[in-house]
Order: sequence, then structure tokens, then C-alpha cells
Amino acid sequence: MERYILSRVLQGIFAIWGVSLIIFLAVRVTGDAAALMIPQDADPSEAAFIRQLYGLDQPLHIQYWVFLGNAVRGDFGRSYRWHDPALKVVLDRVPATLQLAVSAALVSILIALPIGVMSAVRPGGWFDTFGKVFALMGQSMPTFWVGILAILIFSVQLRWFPTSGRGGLQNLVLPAFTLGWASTAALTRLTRSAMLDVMDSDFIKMARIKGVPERWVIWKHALKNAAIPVVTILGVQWAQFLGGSVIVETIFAWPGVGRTIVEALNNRDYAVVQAGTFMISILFVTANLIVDLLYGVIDPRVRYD
Amino acid sequence: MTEPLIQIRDLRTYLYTRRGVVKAVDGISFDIHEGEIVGLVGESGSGKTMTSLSILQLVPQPAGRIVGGSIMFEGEDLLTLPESRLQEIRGERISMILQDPLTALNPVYSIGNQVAEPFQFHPKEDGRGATIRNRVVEVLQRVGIPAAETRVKDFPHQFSGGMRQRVCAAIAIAPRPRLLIADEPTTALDVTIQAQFLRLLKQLQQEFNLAVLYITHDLGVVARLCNRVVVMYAGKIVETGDVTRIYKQPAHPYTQGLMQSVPRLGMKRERLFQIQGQPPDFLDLPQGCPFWPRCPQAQDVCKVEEPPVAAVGTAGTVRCWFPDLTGATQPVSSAV
Repeated sequence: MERYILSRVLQGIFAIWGVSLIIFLAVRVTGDAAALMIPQDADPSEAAFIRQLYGLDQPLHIQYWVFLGNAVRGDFGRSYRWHDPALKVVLDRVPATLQLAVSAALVSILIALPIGVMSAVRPGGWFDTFGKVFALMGQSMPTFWVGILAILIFSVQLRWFPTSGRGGLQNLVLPAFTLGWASTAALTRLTRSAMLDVMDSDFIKMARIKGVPERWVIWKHALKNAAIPVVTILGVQWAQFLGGSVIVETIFAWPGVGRTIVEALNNRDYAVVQAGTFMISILFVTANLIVDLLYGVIDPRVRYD
Repeated sequence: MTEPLIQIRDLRTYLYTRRGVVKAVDGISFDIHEGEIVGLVGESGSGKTMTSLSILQLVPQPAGRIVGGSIMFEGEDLLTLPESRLQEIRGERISMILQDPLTALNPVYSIGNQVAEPFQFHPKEDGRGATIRNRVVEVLQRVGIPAAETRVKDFPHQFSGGMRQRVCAAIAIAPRPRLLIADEPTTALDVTIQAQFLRLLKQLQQEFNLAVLYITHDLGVVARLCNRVVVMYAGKIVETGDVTRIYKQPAHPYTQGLMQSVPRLGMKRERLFQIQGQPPDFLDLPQGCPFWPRCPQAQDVCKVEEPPVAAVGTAGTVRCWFPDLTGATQPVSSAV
């Protein structure tokens, strides 16, 4: 078990390193940061000074080496724009992003599981049809459109929820639903098919033969087995919750990591982009490790050695 | 004879598939008495399993439906009972062992948890105030699980096939049922384990005076285990009778074919007898007797009209136009 966790942590570190390399290079092909920081008619020597100040005049591999050395010490450089350490800028916004992503995951699970299960109990029934339409809508409506539509209906027309910003629970509702929306659809279909598979199995028949009430058969015997593929997909969906936060946070002006990355990209604020994606990849790798350990809780056949 | 424990009359279970209606069980009638082991024999797809699922009213949904007949069990017609009453009967009065022990146990719950369920859902005082845990351990010991006290925490994948089938047997006998349905319980087991399991089943049957409906296509098992035999073909019963009479003097051509296809000790090494043709397609059954295309004795009348049921031996029946009644106590010829 310890060995398994250790090896997974090492794999995670490797993955995060890979992400850092890609981001480091990708950011630098977007253009000259110094050009953005000075007025258009400034003297070229000023640009040169800025480049020198931030070490942008060095060859790429030297820049990367410096970046890596600093990064392992938690130093991602200073934000060109906020004049704070980049890591601090990002860390300040992690709670908001986590809150949004976890809420979206919860929304998704709480809607998808019951609908998926009920659809599978009577395949072809009216509830199943409803579930199909629901999932089709979920998968065919892009997040940015759902977000704008939600603001239009629930904020502007009905005035139930605020249009943007972070604050109380009312502020969370629309972004969380918007972010959870697409995943809910996928999760509903997956739950349904996993349940259909399980409901067909002999041990379900066996439970009924024992005289176990149907409710118990479905929610105890079937659901725990169906949860195994569902949890796997949740681990992957977690990437969507984190990645989708870039869009949703921008739409709802949610002060999270995603929105900060978008702003930093517009400003070529390399340090913040790097620190932000670094943070997102840590959150993703950690969540997937948790999911892998969750298997062991759900499925006793899983062994970690 | 005393009142039978279960009386099945004219049971009809149909499956409504996309391609048409499958009459999986088509008007069958038979009884099982207390403490009696009845073998239900037939080829795959002859309606044996559907018969047992009909008794428990667990016909696959939504395709399957019991469209007619009655199943009298302890004074109640199972077919008219509400689901809540059926849940009381299932597992407590009637239980069942499935074919494949590898899939019959839920992989994500411990053995103890699964054996406890019949006790949980059929709370019955055993007079000693034993806790569910104690009763679980006791019944696991009874079916021969070594170190039952510690193994209750283990999961199905930690047991061998034979041990899992014993666990299934424990679940089946846990609440002391009156009728046990065993659906080919040894098919998935090794031959040596099969013998052990059959011995266990016989012991349990005698200990609890169980009535057993033993579904199989293994005629050797039937000979060793059963008192009476019911032979099914294409959803219908073609022959019933005492096990010795069926083995010595099968009256129906199909039963005769089955008996001849059993390898016997001392037999010359030659190709085993084989019933000609394929099992019938339920969606396209022949007119008349469903067996006639494969029957060596088929005549014109067999192809047109369904055969009548005739008495044979002691309390035996045969559904055939031209049954071989030489084994009957009152041969037809004696009436002349």
C-alpha cells in the first residue's frame, strides 16, 4: 500500500514536470512579454531593459533551468502585473476554484446517480426516456452557452441568483450547475449502463431469491458495483471540472485560478500562467490518486501491491 | 398420499421478445411432496430454469410474464400473492441455488454480510436468542466452510468455486426453507467437488426434510439423488415418473433417447447415442408434437395433433401418441 502510494506520487511528480515544460514553452511562443509592458512608442532600449530585468534575454534552456530550480523551492517568480509572488497570486485563488470544482462534482453526482439508477431500473420506461433527453441536452449544450443562458434566465429574468462574483451560496449555484452540467449528462448515461449491466447479473437474482426488498437490491447490491466504473470516470471528469473552471470562472467573474490564468495569458504574465497551470495539474494528479485509492474502498478485489 | 408441498398446475410463462412470443413454459403441471427430491431434466433451453424462476416469480423483466396457471404452496397460490408477501416467502420458505457460484455472490460484500441477509430479512426466533452473527457462523460451519468464524469477513473472490457454492448453499438453507430449488448447482464445479457438493446437498435435504427441485441435464446425478423425475421438452413436460421406472423403462421416445445417450461403465468404445436434429426453435415450433421432427417413431398423427397425456407406472405420465408402456403396471394391452 505505502509502496503503491509512493510510486503513484512519483508518477504524479513526473506528470507535473511534463506539464511545466509544455507550459513553459507554450507561453513563450505567444510573443514578447516586454512589448506589452511598455508604451507602444517607447524606446527599444526600455524593452531591452525590461527583458533583462526579468531574465527574458537569456537563452530558453537557461530560462527553463532557472525556472525549474526556483519552482522546486516554491518560487515561480513575480507576477509582472500584480507585483506579488506568482505562487501567492495563484494560491490565494485556489480555495475559490476548489469550491467551484467540488460543488460542480457534487451537483453532477447528486443529479446523475439518481437519474441513472432510475433509468436503469425500468429501461425503456418514461423515466428512462426523460433521462435520455436530459443527457442529450447536457452533452449537446456547450458550457459557455449554458452559463450565459443561465445568467439570462435565472439572474436577469427571474432575479433568483446574482450574475457574477463570489460570496454566499447564491453566488455558487449558477457557476456550479454550469460547470457540472456537461459532466452530469455523461455521468447519467454511464451510471445507467453500469447499472443495467449489474442488474442483469446473477448476484442480483440471488439477492432477490433471498427475499431482499427491491429497494435494497438496487441501492445496496447493484449501486456499489455500478459505482466502480462511475468513480473511474469521475476521476477523469475532475479534469473537466478544473479545466472547465477557466470558462465558467470567466463567465461568472469567479475569482479562481482559471480566470486568473486567462487574465495572465492576456497580459503575457508568464509567471502566473506557469504557477496556475502547475497548481491545476497538482490538483488533478492528487484527485486521481484519491480516486485510485477509492477503488480499494469500493471493490475488495483491488489490491495495491 | 399426503397433500403435496407444492402443486404446479398448467403453468404458462411466456417471453415477449422482438422476434415473437416464446412459450418457454407451456402448460406444465407437477407436484413436489415434502422431503422429496424431484429431478427436472431436459436440454438447455427446454424451459427448466424458467420453470424455477416462475415458482419464485422472478421471471426476467420486462420480457417475461406468467400468463396462466397456478402454483399452490402451503395453501396459497403464489401467482396471486402481492410482491410484499412473495418477498417473505422467497428465501424463507422457498430458496434457490444458482448454477455458477462465481457470479452468484456479490463481489463487493463480505460473505458474512451476504449470508446474514436471509436472517435480516426473515427475522425468526430460533428459541436460543442467537445473534445473526452466530447464526451466520453456524450455518457456514454446517455447510463445511473451514474456520467459519474468521472467514465471514472474507470476500467471495477469496474462496474457491466449491467453497463459494457451499456459501450459496448456506444462504439457501439459512432460514430453514421448505423447498429448495437447485439449478444445475454442480455444472460449474470440478468433478471431485461435484461429488462432495452432492453429498452435502443430500445430507442437508435429509437433515431438514427439504423438498428439492433439482434442475439438471446430468442424468447420472438424477439417478443418484432424485426420487422422481420430470422431463421437459420445448416448454412442455413429456414424461414424469419414479426414478427407477424412468431409467429402466422410459416411455417417451425423447426420454429413451436421453437414457441411451448416457455413457455406461463396461460399454464398448463406440460413438454415444445421439438424438437426431437440433433442439427446437421456440419461435417456430412444429405443429403437433414438438418432438416429432427428431422422433424415430413419428407418424402422421404426431405432425398434426398434440399428443394426449397417458398414465404410466405409479403416478407417472407421458405425453406421446405412441408411448412405450411396457414398464407400466397396467399396460394398455391388459385392457383388451
